Amino acid sequence: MKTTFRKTILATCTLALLLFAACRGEQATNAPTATTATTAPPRELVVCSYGGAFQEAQRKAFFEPFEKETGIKIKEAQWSGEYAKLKAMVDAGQPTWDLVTAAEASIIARGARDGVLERIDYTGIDKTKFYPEALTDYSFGFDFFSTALAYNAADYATGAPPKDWKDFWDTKRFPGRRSLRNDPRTTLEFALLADGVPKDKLYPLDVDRAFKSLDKIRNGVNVWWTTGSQPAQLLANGEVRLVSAFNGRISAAAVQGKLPLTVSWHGGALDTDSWIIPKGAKNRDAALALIRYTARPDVQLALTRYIAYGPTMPEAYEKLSATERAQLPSSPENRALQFVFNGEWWAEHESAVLERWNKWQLAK
Amino acid sequence: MRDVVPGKRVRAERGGAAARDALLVVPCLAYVACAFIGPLAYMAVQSVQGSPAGGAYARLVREPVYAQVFLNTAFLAAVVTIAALALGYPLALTAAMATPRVRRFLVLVVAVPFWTSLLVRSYAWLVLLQQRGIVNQVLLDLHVIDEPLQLVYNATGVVLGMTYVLLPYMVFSLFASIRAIDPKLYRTAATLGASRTEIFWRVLVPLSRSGVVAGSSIVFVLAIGFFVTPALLGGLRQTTIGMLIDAQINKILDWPFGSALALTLTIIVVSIAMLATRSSAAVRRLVPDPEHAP
Repeated sequence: MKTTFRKTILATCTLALLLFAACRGEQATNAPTATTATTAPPRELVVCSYGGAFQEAQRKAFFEPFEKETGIKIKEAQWSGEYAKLKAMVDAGQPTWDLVTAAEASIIARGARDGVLERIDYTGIDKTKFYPEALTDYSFGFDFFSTALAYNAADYATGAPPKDWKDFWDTKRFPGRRSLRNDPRTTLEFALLADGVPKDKLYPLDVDRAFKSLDKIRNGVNVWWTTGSQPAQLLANGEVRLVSAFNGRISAAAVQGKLPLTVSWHGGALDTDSWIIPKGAKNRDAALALIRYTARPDVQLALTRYIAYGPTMPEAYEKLSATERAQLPSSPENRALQFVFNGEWWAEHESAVLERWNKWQLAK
Repeated sequence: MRDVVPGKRVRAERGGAAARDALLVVPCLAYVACAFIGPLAYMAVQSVQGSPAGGAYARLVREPVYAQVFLNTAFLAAVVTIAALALGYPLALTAAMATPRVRRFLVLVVAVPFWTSLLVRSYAWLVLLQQRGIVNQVLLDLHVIDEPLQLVYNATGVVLGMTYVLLPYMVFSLFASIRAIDPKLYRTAATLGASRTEIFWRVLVPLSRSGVVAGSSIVFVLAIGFFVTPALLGGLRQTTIGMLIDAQINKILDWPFGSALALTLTIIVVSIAMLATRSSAAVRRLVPDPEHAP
């Protein structure tokens, strides 16, 4: 009997291991093979970004024309902003990526603090031509995105649609199912705005007040989303009527599904997608060349044709029509309605706030 | 005097065979040492680093939220294990007793989803269970309900999804142990006047208990470490310990604390595995073998 038990365990474990090995194998083939980058005669550059519609937009607007102009061959890789991966890579002394897109300001703040990033060489870039919050010593912001309120306009064919977070929190005036992000980042800001904090007085965040405000909406939220693609799906499926979402995902889903998905910019959290260079990257010069390439207004404008993320150069907006500008989170008109997400505050308080968030989740 | 010698020789030969068998295990052990024991030791060191040393464990004990998450996760894993056993036993029994053709078909039916990506399978449940999903649509059309039921983004969704994902582990363990039972025993029992219910409880169940223990412990141990399915199908309260570890390592970058959580989970899992091996014997005492029954 004992041997049968052992055999059963053994057989099942072997099966599980084989499956696991198969999965790992699949992952390994997806990983970039960048070790030969320096020895190959044509110059190469390994660029890592977030995949999906976003990386496709980068490919068309940045990578392909850049390859044509410079002859530098771009190899692409993907991540989901796992700072641990980046740090481990640099600590091992062998970063496989030369240039990385970072969508979370806290990655940049931590990277700079931990010495994981190269300083950006701004030679040849006129810093005064950019929104100041887009550039740091260790990062170059090439677009703005927003986490904002979104809804399906078809649900509000009669009567006014919700405008801001006060409306989102008002379940009487705006009944219906809702979804917020299962992450305190930006969600605490929205809770404070809903509670009446003016957007220029958000930081430093009053965490106590934010959680009190969250208590009020908690039972009205049906789905706490975890991945960026979820809110658009939830709206498209009719699972919920109101969401917080990354604006680019909403407009992409609206175009793809021919749905009247709409972003309301009131109280949106404006943040940048930035280039960072891992410390010790092999093709640093090529990485800087791509950074300089994306520091041109025409190149930044090209990106807006493929995804609704806005340039970091004010002058670029002058070339856009009013309707085009209305789609972009960072156009002067929309910008005035939002606040700039403070990554430094979060880098400092994230751990404590997340602990509290976990506690709040489990509270009855 | 002389008949002692052959016995010695047999023992000596056995010893030699055991040594050869042990050699076969060396590559696997070396691999486990490099790929598991090493990183585990590194994680243990990491978990006591940070300032103050051992602060991660102090925090784990001080903040009741973490004990709560551990308990919730264990409870969830237990519910999933019971559900998988309840669903898996009849299925494994049918498959084991069926004709070879039906058996092959049933095994394939269980195995195919096993080869599909976990993410895809979890998303499939979303499609079925959402507000305008098939399940709600059918129930609405049949006028069983007036409003769509909340079947996902809560405990219901997580238990359904995880049970489905882990069911093959249970079924295969049970299937193997039921197949190993000599069918003559059922006939013998029947000849001796046992009813079908009696055959089930007094022959089948005691003889397949190794499969029950193996399947249940594998499902429980896997379930307690889950994070993809609960993250996709769960709500606020379905935070599992796996999700917390992921957040600490990937988002918060508090590696000492993440390591402390992971190590605690590892210790719990290893204890359960050891307990399961022991309880195999304990269960035997509880449910006696028919051969040894009075």
